[in-house]
Amino acid sequence: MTTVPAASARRPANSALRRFLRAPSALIGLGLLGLLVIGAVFAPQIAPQNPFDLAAIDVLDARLQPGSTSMGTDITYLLGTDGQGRDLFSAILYGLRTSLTVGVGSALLAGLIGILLGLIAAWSGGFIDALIMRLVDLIMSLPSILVALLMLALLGRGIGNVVLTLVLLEWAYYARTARAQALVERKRDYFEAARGLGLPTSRILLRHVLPNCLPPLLVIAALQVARAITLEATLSFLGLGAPVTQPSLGLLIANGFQFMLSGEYWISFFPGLTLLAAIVAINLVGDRLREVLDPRALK
Amino acid sequence: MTKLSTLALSAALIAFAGAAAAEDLRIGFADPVSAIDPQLNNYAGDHSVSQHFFPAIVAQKTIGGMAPGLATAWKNTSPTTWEFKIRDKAVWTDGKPVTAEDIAFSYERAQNVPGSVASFKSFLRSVAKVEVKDPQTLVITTKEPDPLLPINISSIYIVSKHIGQTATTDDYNSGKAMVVDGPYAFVSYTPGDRIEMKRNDTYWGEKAEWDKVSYRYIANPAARTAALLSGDVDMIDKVSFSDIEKLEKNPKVKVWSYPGLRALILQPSFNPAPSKFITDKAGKPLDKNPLLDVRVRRALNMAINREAIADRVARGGVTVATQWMPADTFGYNPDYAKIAVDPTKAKALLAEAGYPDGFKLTMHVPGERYPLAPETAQAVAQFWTRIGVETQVEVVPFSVYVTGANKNDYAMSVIGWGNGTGEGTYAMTSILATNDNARGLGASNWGRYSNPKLDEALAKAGAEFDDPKREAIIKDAVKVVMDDVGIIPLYHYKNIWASRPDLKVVPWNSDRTVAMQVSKVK
Repeated sequence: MTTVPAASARRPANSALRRFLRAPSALIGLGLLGLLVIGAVFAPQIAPQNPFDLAAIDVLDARLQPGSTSMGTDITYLLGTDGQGRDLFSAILYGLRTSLTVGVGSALLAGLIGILLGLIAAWSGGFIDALIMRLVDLIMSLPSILVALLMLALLGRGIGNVVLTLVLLEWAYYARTARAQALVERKRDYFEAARGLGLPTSRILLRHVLPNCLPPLLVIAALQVARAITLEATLSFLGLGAPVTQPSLGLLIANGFQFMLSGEYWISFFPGLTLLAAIVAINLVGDRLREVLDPRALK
Repeated sequence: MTKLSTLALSAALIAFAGAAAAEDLRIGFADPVSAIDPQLNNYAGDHSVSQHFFPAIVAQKTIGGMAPGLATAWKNTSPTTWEFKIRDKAVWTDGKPVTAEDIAFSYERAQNVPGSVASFKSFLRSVAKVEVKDPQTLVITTKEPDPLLPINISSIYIVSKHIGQTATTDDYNSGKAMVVDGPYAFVSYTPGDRIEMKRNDTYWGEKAEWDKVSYRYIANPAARTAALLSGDVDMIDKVSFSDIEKLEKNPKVKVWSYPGLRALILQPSFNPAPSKFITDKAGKPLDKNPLLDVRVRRALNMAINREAIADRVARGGVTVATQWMPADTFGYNPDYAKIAVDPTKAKALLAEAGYPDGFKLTMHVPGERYPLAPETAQAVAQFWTRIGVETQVEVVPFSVYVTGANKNDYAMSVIGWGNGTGEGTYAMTSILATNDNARGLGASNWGRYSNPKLDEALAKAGAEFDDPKREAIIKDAVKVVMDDVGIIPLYHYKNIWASRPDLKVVPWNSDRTVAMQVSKVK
């Protein structure tokens, strides 16, 4: 008898993982994502050059074709160089680092705030619920790019401010889902049981309700990471995100796009390809996650 | 395949356009035009348009010096009085003669046109009174001796008194008041789009080359290039730096680039208080501003490889600057034609000044105002970081930038300076003279550089009517400022036009874009 709860607890997780891996698209997405994450995490070890160190890059090497060798050092520029002489391969790895940090960081932070507010709304009901949910409606009804532009115009450019802006825009999605899910869970028997035992509210919410709300929130988190990366790239492209001497993927694309027609395609092309790969990979994983975790999809 | 067919198509279009309208010229230009009224706003685009219709009494030659306009000759009868002889053959398109009365009226009107947001007043600031001696003689009295008066009034376009007295800006824009005496006459104006003109056969000067001119506003540089390549226009101005290489390779297009007067200059801050944008390597503020030490400024100046910037960043679209005026202009000092690049010596100078490990500096640059400025600033940051001055580049919107720069908030600011008068004292007055708002000095001296020797030279040059003597004073001022590294000049922008291969484009008043500068290759 004692083995039953343990087994039943393990089985859904196991089968979810197995079902997740059954789709080839998810495998491709996961593989691609793994590759990009490894590249970003180990960028200082892999990259031949630190593209953020102005003493390491040389404007005399500017706009070299992929495969050229540097005139000063012995670096081979696999993907060419940008207008400042930055090795694009290194710049892409470091830029990816910025993009993933911003994406994951803002998604986590927004998730924390959003879920907490969602649970509070579901628990309290009444005025507080209405207040939080109208705020959610307000944020979701505003075009995110406009809000982001306004925020950054006020705060000034910089990665920290981009994360802040993204958190402001994203928490609402978590809050809405968390509240809806928590309202469903509230009607379950275990909830009544926990209340009957006289457990403190925070314990009921965080230890009992939250774990049962998590599956849909995980799906949202995955998709929000992709959204955050896109928005950061957009803002950097418009000159409001990363500082010019520490380019993210969006800024690299912006720096090169005016030269596309002059034949120097590589300055925009390779960072663009990387951005595309990252977003596709995350979306593939997120999509599969939704299929697997959605109880309706099981049937 | 696509590229081939595009090429073939544009070739066919150009050939077709050439055959269909041999005597017509279509110009795609970049500077917005605010009105056809030549005295409303002192804007680059308005200047270019007015040159077709309303010649000034004198004209500025492309590189320094003055040429006759409506006036054939002028002389000083005393240091403060000027006498101008007006052409007797000049007529308005309604048949009335152009007289000194029209000129006196124009100088009056130019100072108070209702609705003006960029008045021409400053060009006439030294004028005390304008008198009509007879229909062919004009006498101008200045408040104090002003050798620059002819240059200044070359920017004031002359309208007719008999029409202008009752005409409003709208009357000029609609064409009702467009009685002109220039090489071209007015046909129509569509605000924000184009101006159509035709040859004026009653013009007093050389007959205009083109029967009809269509002068079209295309703000976006890529759109201008595309318009030229597709044969929509015959000539474009302000060719984007990123398109130069592509266009030069294209046999269907000819690129015309000429040395220009506009300079990009760094202004180090001479603020006596330590700047928050300069810290030691650990990020702690310094107890004094290291830029006050001439050895530090010299080190920064000699660390910059200007040739590399001109070649790699600007793609040959600029010429290296070692002083505020470009080579072969009035006031250029050939003794300062080169700044040797020497990072080793720069490091030694920094050590001597007490900064063996260098320091951290944040440089500010506006994002969209000056072409290539953010890219250039990053390249400069590379050179400085290599000698130990770790440099960050902060790109800010111009509206924010100009407020900070005016308050001398920044440790290092960037200015694009037009040198519009074509001689050296304009920059001395506005960006080098000790800041004194009441006297209109140092208005754009964002670093608050102050050197009594320079101020003295400026005062002397302002009262000197003998050109060789005045030039010698300016050349000495170049020595004073560049030995002291009061500013760090980087380069002068070239003026670049591109046209059909069967046209010839010559520069006009430095960087104006007009039909008069274009001719057919015979």
